[in-house]
Amino acid sequence: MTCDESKILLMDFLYNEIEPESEKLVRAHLQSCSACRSEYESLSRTSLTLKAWENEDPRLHLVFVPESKSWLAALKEKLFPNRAPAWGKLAGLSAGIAIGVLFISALLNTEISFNNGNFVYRTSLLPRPSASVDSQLVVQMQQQLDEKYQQLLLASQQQQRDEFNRTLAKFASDIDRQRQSDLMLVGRGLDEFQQRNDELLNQFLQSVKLPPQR
Amino acid sequence: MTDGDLIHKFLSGPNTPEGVAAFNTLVWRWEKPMYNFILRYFGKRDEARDLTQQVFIKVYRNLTHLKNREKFSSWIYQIAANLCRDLIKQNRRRQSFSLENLQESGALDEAAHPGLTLQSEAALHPDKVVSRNELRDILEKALQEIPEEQRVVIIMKEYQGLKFAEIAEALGVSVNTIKSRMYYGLSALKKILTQWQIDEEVMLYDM
Repeated sequence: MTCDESKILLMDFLYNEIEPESEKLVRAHLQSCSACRSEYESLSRTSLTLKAWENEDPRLHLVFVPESKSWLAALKEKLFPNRAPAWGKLAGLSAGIAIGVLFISALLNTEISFNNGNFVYRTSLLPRPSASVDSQLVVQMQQQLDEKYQQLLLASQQQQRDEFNRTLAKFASDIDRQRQSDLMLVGRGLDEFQQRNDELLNQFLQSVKLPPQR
Repeated sequence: MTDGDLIHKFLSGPNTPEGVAAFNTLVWRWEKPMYNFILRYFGKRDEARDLTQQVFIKVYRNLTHLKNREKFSSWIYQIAANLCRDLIKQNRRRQSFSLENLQESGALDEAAHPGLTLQSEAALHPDKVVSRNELRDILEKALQEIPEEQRVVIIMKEYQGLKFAEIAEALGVSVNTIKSRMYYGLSALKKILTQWQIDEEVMLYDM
């Protein structure tokens, strides 16, 4: 055995991991080679010196605490105690697909409606034309509303004017009638006055023997 | 209960009280060896604490991937060694710029030869026998002086008491490579300690 060959076996020998066969060889070599013998002794002393550094107490006292489960996870575990992972995956997958479909539908302006027992599914990449029709309709309605309003306003003004005229006419006719009656009363009064004057004159003439005047 | 039993218990119900208790027992068992391994590999106590925690977080997350539960020991050392190696690489990258500056100003001369300060301390107190704490500091520095790949083997063998085969498994290299690294690492350490005039006889006497 050469000195180089002995180096590996020397380690086995030093740490008691050597085969009995090899141990014999190493012992024989160490006896015959003083260089390797002193090498072995100094290495063994170094190894012993290293032991002076004793283990230290880290005072770490690490304790692992399980993560608290979210209420969703707890619910899932309750609902599917055995097949939780598979169901979870399936639910996640279908939810993902549903969200994807909804997103794409939103991008495509999809319209789904239920009419008389039929599902109608419409999609287009362009904005729906009905949107512009709607706005036209709104403008039309606005215009109609304005017209109606104007008409109503005019009608109401007309009505007010008519009412005023009617009242004015009634007032005028009332005044006229009053004047007529007043004139009649005045006329009758004058007639009566004249009659009495005539009677008094006749009585006087009779008393003075004069023929009655007519 | 073996580590394998605890792992089995944990994996059969990671969120049950029994599973959590099994994992915590495993942590309690391995906390001190892991911390001491990392401390000797890395050399800094605060960072060794952080790294120890990280090791157990990795263990917690990856335990399901461990195929042979009887090889937990090699596996956990592999995790720890990888974490240390990554952090050392990171630190080296971060320090490279500042190191250049230091080298220019000559501030690194002393840092490169910590033996000088140790020697002068010993010269100041020739009558004082090296105490156990001082020896620990010396060994801590000496271990940082030797190449990383030799250091990790020495720590695993000397302090963690792993078999060469287990070390080979944890580090993913052949058993003979491990033995060779062990030999050269020990020789390098012997040389450094002699350079720093740490008399082995004195140390042995003190122990």
